Amino acid sequence: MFQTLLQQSPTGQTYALFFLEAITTTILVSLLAIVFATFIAFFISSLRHAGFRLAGAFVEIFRNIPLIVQVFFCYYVLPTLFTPLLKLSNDNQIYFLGLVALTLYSSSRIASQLLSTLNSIPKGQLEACKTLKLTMSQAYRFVMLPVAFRNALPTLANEWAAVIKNSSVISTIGLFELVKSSQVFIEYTSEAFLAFGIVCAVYLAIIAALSIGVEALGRKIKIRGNL
Amino acid sequence: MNALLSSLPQLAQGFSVTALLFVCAFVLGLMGGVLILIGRTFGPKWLKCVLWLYTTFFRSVPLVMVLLFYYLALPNFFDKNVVAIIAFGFFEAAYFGEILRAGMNTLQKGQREAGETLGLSKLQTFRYVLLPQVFKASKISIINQAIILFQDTSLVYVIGAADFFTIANRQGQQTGELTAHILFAGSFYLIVSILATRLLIKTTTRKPI
Repeated sequence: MFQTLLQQSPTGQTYALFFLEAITTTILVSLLAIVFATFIAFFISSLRHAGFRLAGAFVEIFRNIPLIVQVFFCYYVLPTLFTPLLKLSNDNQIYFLGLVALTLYSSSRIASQLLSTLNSIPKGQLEACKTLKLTMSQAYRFVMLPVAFRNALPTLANEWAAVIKNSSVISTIGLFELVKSSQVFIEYTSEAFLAFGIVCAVYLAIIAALSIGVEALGRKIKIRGNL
Repeated sequence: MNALLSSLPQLAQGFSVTALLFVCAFVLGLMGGVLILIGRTFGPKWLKCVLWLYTTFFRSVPLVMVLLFYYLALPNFFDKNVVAIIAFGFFEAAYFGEILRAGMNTLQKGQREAGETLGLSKLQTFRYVLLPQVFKASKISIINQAIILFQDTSLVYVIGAADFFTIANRQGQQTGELTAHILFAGSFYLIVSILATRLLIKTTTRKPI
């Protein structure tokens, strides 16, 4: 059964490399989405916590629309609105617009989690910052967000795992990532068991690695006390 | 705009399929979650291990993959909606099982022992003492997961089932006004989800005395 992996696909490469390429795409898209989404989420949740209702509206909009609708919106609707935006090849456009959709959706989810974490930090911290004459951005950057990040780390780990799982939705516009590659593999060789086995094993491995990494990070930045 | 109005009948049908998928998936998932909870609380060690594996597995793989797997695994005569419901049932059972387990952990340890002291069997303790409290404790998380489930029903696009978003997409491509249809579908999900969340907030916050 595993010998199929060493056979050649109709496009000329061995199936092992075929899957490897798909795995690389999945990991890359997920990683970029996680990094960008977390940054955006920290920014937006601070804005919302400081009182800007517009940031709250942003979070509500992108959180309540299903990811697949957002992906289709970014891929089919945005290019018609911004025609001369970027003249990328079709593959790159799928990658870029899919990444944009995934980032926006994930950032809204992470932002809503961070908002509840920020709300759980005692109000005295922010008032102490005001007393020390820190600007709002300094207060959030040096006091609130580090504490929020430390407290929210388990929830963030869940959200980052969700980003990795949600990257599979981008396959609906044609991105050649892990789930799509398994479908193509089944079309070529009809070895469904092997295909799904590989996909499940890879997702389990990636998410296990993520959990271990985040746990190690949590231990490293942990400080004693309840803050 | 005209094309959007003319596709309203098909969109309504799509919505009925989405509603069907949501209700069936929710009920099946919740029932499965309760079964998993029973198994993990009262079961022998091997059962606890198997259920832990099941939960971890279905919480680590994407829903798209689960849908495609069940679509390929089940024979051809199964209607696509049935395939979707079965897939959602297994998938959501893992999530609800985890939510209920977390709710169960917040209960006082004495509840279960009190039930046994009163002479109730394990299943009776569970049904009359523990389960109502578990539901009360996890009510918010259950409804949150239900809203997520409602949004996830749109993913049946990948197996071709005719849910609301798939039909909106199809109609949009047929009539040529894809933008309008996608925007309509997006606003629909947005409005329903926001209304549901507002309803949840209203029914769970305590009224001041």
